[in-house]
Amino acid sequence: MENVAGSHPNHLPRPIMNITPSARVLFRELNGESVLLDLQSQQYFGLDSVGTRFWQLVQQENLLSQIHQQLLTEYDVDSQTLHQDLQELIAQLQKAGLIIVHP
Amino acid sequence: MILIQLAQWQNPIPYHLAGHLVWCDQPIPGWNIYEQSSMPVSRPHRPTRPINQPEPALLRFQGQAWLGGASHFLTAYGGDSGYWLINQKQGQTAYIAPNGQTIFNLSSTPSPIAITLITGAALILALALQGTFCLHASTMAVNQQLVVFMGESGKGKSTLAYFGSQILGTQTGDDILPMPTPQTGRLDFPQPQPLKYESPELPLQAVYLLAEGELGLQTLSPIEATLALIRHTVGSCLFDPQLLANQLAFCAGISATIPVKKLTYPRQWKMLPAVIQTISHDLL
Repeated sequence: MENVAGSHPNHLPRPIMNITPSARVLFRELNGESVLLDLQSQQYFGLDSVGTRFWQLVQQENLLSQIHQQLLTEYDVDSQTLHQDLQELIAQLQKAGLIIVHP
Repeated sequence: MILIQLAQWQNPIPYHLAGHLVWCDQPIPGWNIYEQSSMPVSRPHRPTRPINQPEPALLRFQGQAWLGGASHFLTAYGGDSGYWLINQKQGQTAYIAPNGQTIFNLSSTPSPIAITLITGAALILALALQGTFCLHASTMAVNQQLVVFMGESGKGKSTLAYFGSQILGTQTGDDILPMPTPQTGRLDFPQPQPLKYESPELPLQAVYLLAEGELGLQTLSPIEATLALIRHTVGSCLFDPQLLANQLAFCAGISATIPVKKLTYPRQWKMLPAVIQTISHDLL
């Protein structure tokens, strides 16, 4: 992720980064994990428990910085590791067209 | 424009298939045992106006599909008022009502392929519209309980079901199976051959996903089970977003209530007794 004007730490998400689930995606939770169905491509994707929690938060809260902060309180993980994991997950979801990212 | 011949609506026949009512405009060979003895309360769905060829925007599927043991070119439309049309390239067309309770052959020259279309893709879609989805699977009864084998073609599900039925003296079903739920138990389905269970209800006990490997069982997680059930659902290429959503809910519901396990074994005939024994023990 690019730093914002050189003033934002690299291990934290940009506060203004906004994420919304694609309207064409159906979410179904299964015992802590979940399946995402892309109704347009008819493709299915599985999310593990952490990914499922991320998706739940994305549905409630679009600001990545707030999602990051919430996950920090729920999981035993340091900020930088979480940031990297979230970037990977977001990149995968964005590539699959499952979320829309607004920088 | 496709017009329904009024004569086709005169004597529709109510069938009880996979736990659901399905009206047909003509007798379907092999389905006489599924004919409802009493006249249902609900009547066949009649369009209020002539059926038009749907707009291209309503095209749901176009391509080769397996039908009656052979590949055929099918086109499926979701009609503007909720009905469905499935065209077969040789000129056969099936109409499926929005609620899935009516299948009519709209072809002017009925043929064996029309029957295959009705008993195949049209029926699969009609059942899906009524909430039952079909698996490409085999099944057999063990101790008055139903088990289902699913797997890719060539993974041995038919062989295993047949062998198990020989050992256990039970009967099998093969190829396309309307997925029973704990609520509905065993389901009748006449395509491509009638299931022959005499008991009207057999509870579904387990679903096994077949794979090659050392003999063993591994319980799939709910998400793995759901995705496996979805992957082996027949006819999903025809589904619209609503049916896809229903299919996901259906498969998730099964995986939440029925054990779905990966059954690995070496693809050797001599191993089959041990495989059947493993299944029998698993069901105890």
